[in-house]
Amino acid sequence: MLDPELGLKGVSLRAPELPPLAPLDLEVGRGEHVALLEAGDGAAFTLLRIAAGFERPDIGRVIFAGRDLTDRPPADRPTRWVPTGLALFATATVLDNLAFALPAEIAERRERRARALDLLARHGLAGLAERRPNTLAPTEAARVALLRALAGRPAVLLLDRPFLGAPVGERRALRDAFDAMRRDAPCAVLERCDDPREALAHADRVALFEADRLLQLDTPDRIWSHPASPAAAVLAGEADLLPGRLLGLDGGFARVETPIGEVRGVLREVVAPGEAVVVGFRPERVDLTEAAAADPRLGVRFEADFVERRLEGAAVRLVFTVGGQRLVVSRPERGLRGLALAGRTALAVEADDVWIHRAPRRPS
Amino acid sequence: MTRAPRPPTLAVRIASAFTALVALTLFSALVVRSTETWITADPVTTHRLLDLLAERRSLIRAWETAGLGEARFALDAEIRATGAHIAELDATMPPPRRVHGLAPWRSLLADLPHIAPIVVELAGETCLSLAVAFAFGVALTRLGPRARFVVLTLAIAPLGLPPPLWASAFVRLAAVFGLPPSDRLADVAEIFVGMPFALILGWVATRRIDPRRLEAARDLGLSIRERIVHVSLPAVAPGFAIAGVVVFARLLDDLAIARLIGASDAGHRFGAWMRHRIVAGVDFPTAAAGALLAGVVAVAIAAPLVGLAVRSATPPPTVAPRWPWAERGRPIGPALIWLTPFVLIAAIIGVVALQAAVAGFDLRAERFVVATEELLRAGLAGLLAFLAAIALVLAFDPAEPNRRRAAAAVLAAAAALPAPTVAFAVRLFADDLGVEAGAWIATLAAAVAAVGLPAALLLLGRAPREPAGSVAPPARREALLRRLVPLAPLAAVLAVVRALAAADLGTIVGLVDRTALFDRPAALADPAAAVGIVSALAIGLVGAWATERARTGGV
Repeated sequence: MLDPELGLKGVSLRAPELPPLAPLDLEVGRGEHVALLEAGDGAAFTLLRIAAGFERPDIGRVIFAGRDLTDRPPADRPTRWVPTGLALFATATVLDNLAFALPAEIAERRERRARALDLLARHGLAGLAERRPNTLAPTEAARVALLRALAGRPAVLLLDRPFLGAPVGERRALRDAFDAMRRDAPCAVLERCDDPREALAHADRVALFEADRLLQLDTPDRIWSHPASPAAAVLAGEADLLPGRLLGLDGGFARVETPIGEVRGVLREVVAPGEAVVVGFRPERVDLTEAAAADPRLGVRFEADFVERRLEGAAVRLVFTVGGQRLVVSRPERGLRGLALAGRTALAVEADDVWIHRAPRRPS
Repeated sequence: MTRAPRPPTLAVRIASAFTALVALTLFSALVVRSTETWITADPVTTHRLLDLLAERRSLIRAWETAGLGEARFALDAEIRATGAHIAELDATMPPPRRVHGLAPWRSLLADLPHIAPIVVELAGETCLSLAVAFAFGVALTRLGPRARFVVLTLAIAPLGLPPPLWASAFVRLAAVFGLPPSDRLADVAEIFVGMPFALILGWVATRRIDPRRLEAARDLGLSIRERIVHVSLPAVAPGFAIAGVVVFARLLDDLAIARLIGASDAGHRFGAWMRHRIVAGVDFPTAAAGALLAGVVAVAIAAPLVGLAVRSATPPPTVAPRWPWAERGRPIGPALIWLTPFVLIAAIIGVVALQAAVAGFDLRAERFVVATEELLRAGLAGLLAFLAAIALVLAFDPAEPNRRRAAAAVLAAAAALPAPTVAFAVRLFADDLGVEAGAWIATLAAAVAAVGLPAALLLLGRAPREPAGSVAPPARREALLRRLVPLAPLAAVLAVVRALAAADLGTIVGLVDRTALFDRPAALADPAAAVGIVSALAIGLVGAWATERARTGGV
C-alpha cells in the first residue's frame, strides 16, 4: 500500500488483563475504513488499544504517516478514540464535551465553545448543546461522541464498537450521519465492529480475528465469497458447513464425500485425497430451482426435508435437514405465492460457490 | 404513556414495616423520656443516694487500678459497705413521682450555646479527615498492588484499636516530638481517627471511575486537573459524601479519645457529655433530649450528603479496569509521607507489645479475659449488623428503583446517627420493657448502631439507574450475587469496626464495671491492650484485602 496513514509493523502484546495479540502487520491507507471483526473481546481489542497508545507493544512499531510514534502517549498521536459506551463526560454539557476535543491551538474558552456550537449546528445537533450526556438518547449520544472525536481533526479515527448501545433500527441512519461527518473531516478509520453486516457494508477492508491472531484481511467481497477458513466464514456471517472427506480433483474442482452426497467445489488449501475437509457455502447461494444434473457448473444437487421458515424482513430464512445436517437457505422475500416447501425439496449449489478447507485439527 | 408503579413486594413491605417499627420504637423511647421529670419525694435522701453511687463508682475505679494485696482488700470491703448502704436507702426511699413536661429540654437549653461551636469544629475535623484521605488516596494510586496492600493495612488497622489504646499510642507519639496533651492535639487525633473510614469508602468509590472515560480524557489531552474534575471526582463524590456522613458520626459519638488526649472540657464531645448525664448525674430525661437533638443535628447535616450520594451514585463500569497508573512494581514511595503517623504508632505499639511478650503476661488475668469478652461482643454485634444489612438488601433489591433509592437513603441516614443516641434509645426501650441493662443490651445497641453503613454500602452497590426489568428473572440471583459478593467482606469489616467503635457505649447502656478494653490502659503492655493490638492487626489485614476486593471485584 502506498503512503499508509497508520502502519502496525509486527506488533504483538501479552499483558495481564488483556487479550493476547500474536505478531501481525496491518496498514490503514489515507481515508480508508478498516473494520475488525472478532467474537467477544480478543486480539482486535488489544490491537486498537496499541494503535491508540494506551498499551505499548512487546515488539513491533506503530507508524503514523511514516513517523514512529510507538512510545508517544495517546494525546500526542494523530488519532482519536471512541470506546464502547462512548465515554462522554457526564458532568459536562454536550457543548463542553465538544469544546474539550477541539485543537489545542484554539486557546480561548469562548472561542472553543463558539466553534463547538458551530460544529453541532452543522450536523443538526445544536439543540443538544446544553444537555448532559445522561439525558441523551443512545443514537444522539453516539453522534455526539463521534463528532467529539472528529472535532480534533484526527488522521485516524479509532472506534471500539461505538454503535453497540444504539437501537438496531437506527443504526443505518447513524452510519449515514457518521459518513456525513467524515466528509466534513476526512480521516482513516480503524473500527472494531460488533455487526458483520455493517462491517461488510461500510468498510473498505475487513480484518477477521480468532483468539490472538489475524485470520484474514481482505475486501468485503472476498471475505464474503472466499473466506480463508471455516472460522473466517462464520465470523463474516451465516454459512452452511458440512464435514466431508476429499475424494479427488475433477475438472478444476475438488470432489468431496459429505452427508448430503458428493459435492464439487473450489479447494482453498492444499489437501491430500482422503483427508478430512469442511465444505461450506453461503445460505443465499443455495438454489431452490431444479438444476439439470448434467450442468457442468453444478456443485451439488440434493433433496432436503423442510423444517421451518423465518421471515427476516427483506429476506426469508428457510431451514432444512438432510443426512442429519441442518442447512439454512436464505432467499429474497417475495410473499407466499408459489411456495411449496412441505416435505422434501430439491436444492442445488453451484461449484464456484462451494469452498473446501482442511478440517481444523481438534486440540489433543 | 407513563407506567403505573408496581405495588411493593411482600419482602419490601415486611422490611419497610420492620425498619419503621424499630425506628419508631427507639424514637418514641427517647421522646417519651425526654419529656419526663422525676420529682423525688425526699430530696435529701435522693442526694444522699446519688453521693453514695458516685462514691461507689470512684471506689471501683480505685480498686481496678490498685495493686493486689491489702489495699485492694480494703477497697473491696468499702465497696461492699457502700453497696449495702445503697441497697438499704433504695429499699426505704419512697418512689419518685413522674410528671411530663418540657423541663429536660429547658435544662438542655443551657448547654446549647456550647453545642454550635462543637458542631462546627466537628464539621471542620470531618472535612480535614476527608482531605487527608483524598491526598492519601492519590498517593495510593501511585503504588503497585503489594505496596498498596501494606499501606492499606497500616491505615485501616487503627479502626480495630479500641479508642483508649489509640489515644495512648497517639499521646506517646506526640511526646516523642515534645508535644504535651492539649485540645489541638486531640483535634489532630480525631482527624486521624476519622480518616480510615474516609479512605476505605473513598478508595472503594474509585471502582466507579470508568477507565474508558479516563482513557478518553487522556486521548483528548485533558490536563490532570480536568481529568479529576470531569472524570474522577464525579465518580468518587458519592463515596466521599457517605464517608463524610460516617466520619462526622464517628467523631460526634466519640466517648474517649478527645478526653484521653487532653481536651480540657469534659463536654467537648457529645458522647462524653451524655455519659456524664447518665452515669454521673443520672439525668436520663436531659440525656434523652440531648440524644434526640444530636440525632437531629447529625441527620440534618447528613441529609444533603446522603441525597447527593444516593442521587448521583453511578453503576460501576462493566469493563475490567485498566488504570492509567501503575498496577505493578512501584515502590512505596510518596505514600510513606502520609503513612508516617500510622507507621510510628504501629512501631510504638509493636515495641511495647514485644516488650510485654518478652516479659510474659498472664492470659488468665482478669483484664485480659474481660477485654477478650468485650472484643467478642463487638464482633458479635458486627455480625448481627452484617446479617441484618444482608437481609435488608435482599428484601429491597428486587424493589422498584425509586423504592430502592429511598431505602438506601434511609439506611445511609441511619449510619449518621450518633451511636450514643441509638444506644441510649435501646437502653430506654429495654427499661420500659423491664429488661435489665447488661451485656446483651449493649451488644444489641452496638448492632443497631452499626447496621446502617454496611446496608447502605451494599444497597448502593446496585445501579440506581438500572432500568426495571433489564435483568431477566433467572439471571437476577446471579446478578445479585455478582454485585454483593465483592462488597460483602468490606461490609462485614465496616460492621465490625462500627460496632467496635460503638462498644465503649457500654457505659451508657449500663456496663459501668466492664471497661477493660475501653478504659485507658495503664500501659500499652496491659493484657487488655494486647487484645486491642491483635484486633487491630486482624482488622488491618482483612480490611485491606476486603477494600481491594470491593474496589476491583464484580466486574
